[in-house]
Amino acid sequence: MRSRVAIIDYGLGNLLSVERALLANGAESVHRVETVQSFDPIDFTHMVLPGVGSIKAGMARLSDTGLIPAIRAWRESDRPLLGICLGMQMLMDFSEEDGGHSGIGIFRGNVVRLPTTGADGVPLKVPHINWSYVQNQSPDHPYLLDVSQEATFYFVHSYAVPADPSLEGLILRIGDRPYVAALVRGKTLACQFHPEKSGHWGKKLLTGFIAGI
Amino acid sequence: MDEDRSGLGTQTHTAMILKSSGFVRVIARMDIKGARLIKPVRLEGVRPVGIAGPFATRYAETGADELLLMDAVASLYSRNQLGDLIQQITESVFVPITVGGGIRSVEDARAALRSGADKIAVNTAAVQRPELIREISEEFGRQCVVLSIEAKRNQAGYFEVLLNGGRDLTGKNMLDWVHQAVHLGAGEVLLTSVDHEGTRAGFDLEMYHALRPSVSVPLILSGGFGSEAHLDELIASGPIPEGLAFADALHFDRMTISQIKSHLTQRSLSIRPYAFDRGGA
Repeated sequence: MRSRVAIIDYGLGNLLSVERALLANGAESVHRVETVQSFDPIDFTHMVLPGVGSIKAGMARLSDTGLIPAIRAWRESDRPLLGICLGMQMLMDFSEEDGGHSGIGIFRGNVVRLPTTGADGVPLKVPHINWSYVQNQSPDHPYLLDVSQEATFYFVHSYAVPADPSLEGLILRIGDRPYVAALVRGKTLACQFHPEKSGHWGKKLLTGFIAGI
Repeated sequence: MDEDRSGLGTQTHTAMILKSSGFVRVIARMDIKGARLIKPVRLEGVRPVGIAGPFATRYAETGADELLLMDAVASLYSRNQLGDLIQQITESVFVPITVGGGIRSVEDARAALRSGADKIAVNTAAVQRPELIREISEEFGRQCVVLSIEAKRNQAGYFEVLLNGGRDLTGKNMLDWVHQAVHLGAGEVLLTSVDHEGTRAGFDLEMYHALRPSVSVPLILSGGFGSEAHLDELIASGPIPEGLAFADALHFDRMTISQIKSHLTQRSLSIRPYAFDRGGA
């Protein structure tokens, strides 16, 4: 089956980088979708919700596209969906950024500001801008089969979702606290990190996402 | 953490926590003029190095944690040229790219991001109009805004912010400016010592340690690296910056990224391992 990827373009993503990475890792074509009027789910096999920016600007612009119900419907029929960074945070219930904003609510949980100190009192730099190891909680999930202890991913964020031990996905440790590096549910993959900027390991993840039609 | 669920043994788990303390980022800094990579010396003279694109690809493929592209002469050339270069580079480079030089507005920032940049470095325009930092930060998030500072110790005894490659004085104290800029929304600081840039005489440790305690965001140190001994001096002097930028040592093949990372590892610093270094995982 040919992979035709819809990238939701609400004006805040690093679209070109995401498109290039998808095309380099198996996508046969990538299409920017800016409004609900120009979107027919039958035309696509994959959906990507990218994002760089604040939740306030992101949710406002995403609402303007009229595509939020289409994203929900896509998820409900378990078609391949990838959320990246802000795109992942917008899939949550709520974010405390900018005084508090509701998200799309596909995943339960809240986005909180990263701590500025660890448990030992050591100052932590915020934003967290770095590559990091992750802990694979779901090594049997098709998207995460290849994510070994050696895998590193690139993060750039000031907010994140606290992780609990029942998390299905990948865990990021900041100081001594666990946060969501990625969530998986069915054919949905939501990443706090940027797979399109995570070199070798990002390529593996994107290849798996595209292949897992 | 439930170990059975994670599928990892206790020993490995402990190792992961130790490993998660944060990598020192090794950043390839590329000063750009048109489509060419150049090397400024003390931010005054420039030496041409070559066509920028292949250098960017090589650095990304040999383990650079990030690329830093600085348009050295943005005011003299159309920024479309830099946009074209970024677009070309992102075809084959899948690591983060920070772009600076001539960013004067939110729209300039948006254009650079849409061309494939991940972060925007601001300098001159932000000094002239500090609100620019707030504007870009509010639109794209503070993690997207890098404050680039060129500074040197002046005769009054403080570190003064300079502009245009060190030619123009501002009278601004580096410490005050960083404090203001971070308050306005800068998410990272790139510190370049005008006196050390391009000299291969070592990092400006005095300037770095003067700034470090007052910066709550990641700090990248740039300018002056000449040999492994300079890394040792930096490590011996106190806490290491979150990122180190390397330019002519890489451009003129005096050291590779992998050699720099090996040296940092030998000194017990944590660096991002690079899959292809180990024969392609």
